[in-house]
Amino acid sequence: MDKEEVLNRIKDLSSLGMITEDEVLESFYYGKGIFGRKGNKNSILSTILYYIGGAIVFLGIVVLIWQSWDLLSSTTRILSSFGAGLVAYIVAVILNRHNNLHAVGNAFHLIAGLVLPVGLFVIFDSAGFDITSFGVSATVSAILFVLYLISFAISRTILFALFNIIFGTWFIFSFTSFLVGNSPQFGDSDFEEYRAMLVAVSYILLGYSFLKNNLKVLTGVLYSFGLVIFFITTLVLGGYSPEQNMFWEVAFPILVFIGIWLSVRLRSKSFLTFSSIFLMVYIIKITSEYFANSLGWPFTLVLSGLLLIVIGFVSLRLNKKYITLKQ
Amino acid sequence: MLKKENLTLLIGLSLPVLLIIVVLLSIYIPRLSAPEPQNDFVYSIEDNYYYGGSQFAVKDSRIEKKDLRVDKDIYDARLVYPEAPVYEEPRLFLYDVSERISREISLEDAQDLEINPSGKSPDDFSVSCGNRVDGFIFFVFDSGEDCRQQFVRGHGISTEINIDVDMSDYRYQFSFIGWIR
Repeated sequence: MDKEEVLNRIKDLSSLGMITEDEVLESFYYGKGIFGRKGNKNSILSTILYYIGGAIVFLGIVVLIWQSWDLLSSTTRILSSFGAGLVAYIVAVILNRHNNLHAVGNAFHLIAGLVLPVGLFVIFDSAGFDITSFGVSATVSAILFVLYLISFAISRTILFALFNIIFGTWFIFSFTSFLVGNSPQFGDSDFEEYRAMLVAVSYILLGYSFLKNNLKVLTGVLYSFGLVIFFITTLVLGGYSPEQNMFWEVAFPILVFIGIWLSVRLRSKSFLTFSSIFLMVYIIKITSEYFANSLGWPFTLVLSGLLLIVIGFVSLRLNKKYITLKQ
Repeated sequence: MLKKENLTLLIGLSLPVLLIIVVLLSIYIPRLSAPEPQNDFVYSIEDNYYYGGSQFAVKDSRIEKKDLRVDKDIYDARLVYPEAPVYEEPRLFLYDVSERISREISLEDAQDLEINPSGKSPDDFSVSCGNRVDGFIFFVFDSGEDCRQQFVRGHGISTEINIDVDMSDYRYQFSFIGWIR
């Protein structure tokens, strides 16, 4: 069935009064990955309230367990945490079977996604494991990652994709930390910085790959997190005089300008915003690192301020000319 | 042919997997070719609460005990803090690298051993502190040297030293003394 046929079918159903405007809009937004939105502000507000409600339920469960920790037996602790998370997940699956209850179902998925990690930690704690260890952390994140990977394979929703990214990242960090352990071999290297940088690049690539599907809403978030982590790790790798790493100090402005170029290519405000912000950070860092003593602080401040104004102006022009207008 | 979006998705998902593979390889590949450490060594566990206690040193390849207290009363923490723990004399341990066990030895037994106080063993191993990473979930709060754990390190590998003292107690400090000749 091509687009023309679908539109004609909608016209037919509309003339027969068999389809409402809300139903058409809901289907349209569902395809965009926006659930519970029927094109009016009330439904957006109610969706936000569902999620806030879900977050409050999570806080309630955490506070309940925390306050009554000594009074509860191991079984009760597990039931009130993991049990609650499991029930929330099952309720969410049942609610999501009904088209008009998707938003409430997702609120329950939010509760499950937040409570299940707590529940798994409670189980490991009750079994006598050290829950602060990277081994337990890696196991918990792996269980959750697999659960939400299966969930995503069944239903390709934004919430499942988001949980997959969060639990996947958590697994990568905890599992590699578990493998490395406290070995001094990795202590000498910049392992943590390179690991974070790799995850950041992964976020940016995932963000790009979601551009043309129903996960597009995650692109901006992934770009933003990816760029912030990427630029911070690059700055950390560059270090500070006299212990600077010349390679990363020189590479940083090149990477920032690549970011600005990509902002135009991808028409991405996230790329433009964070590349500009980190170019400003770099200018302040370099001037204070190398020129504060030779030029003196007052002149350094004036120079940095003028450069920041130039960057701000150029960013604004690029945004108007290549990003906002073309969108 | 793969679409651009699918290719980036593939690379984006492959990078973390690649990271795990690289970490695994960098841990396990050196183990295949690295020699086993051959030289046993002696270390001491000292009382970190007291600045002026006793220490062991190596002179003419023999271990000797040095009393660093200039005036015993000045360094007696219990005079200022009656609740302070009683000063513990430093203890000597011989580490068997092949069995990976620590055995406490007396000063008299230790003085029979010929000691090389060099940082590197003849087979190019050294003893160094561990690396601590403090974090939760994926937030690394802090990382750096952690001398509560000690490692025999060299040729791209490192193995943890089994210390028979509760090193989580900050009063104890590990001091490498030397390799047994």
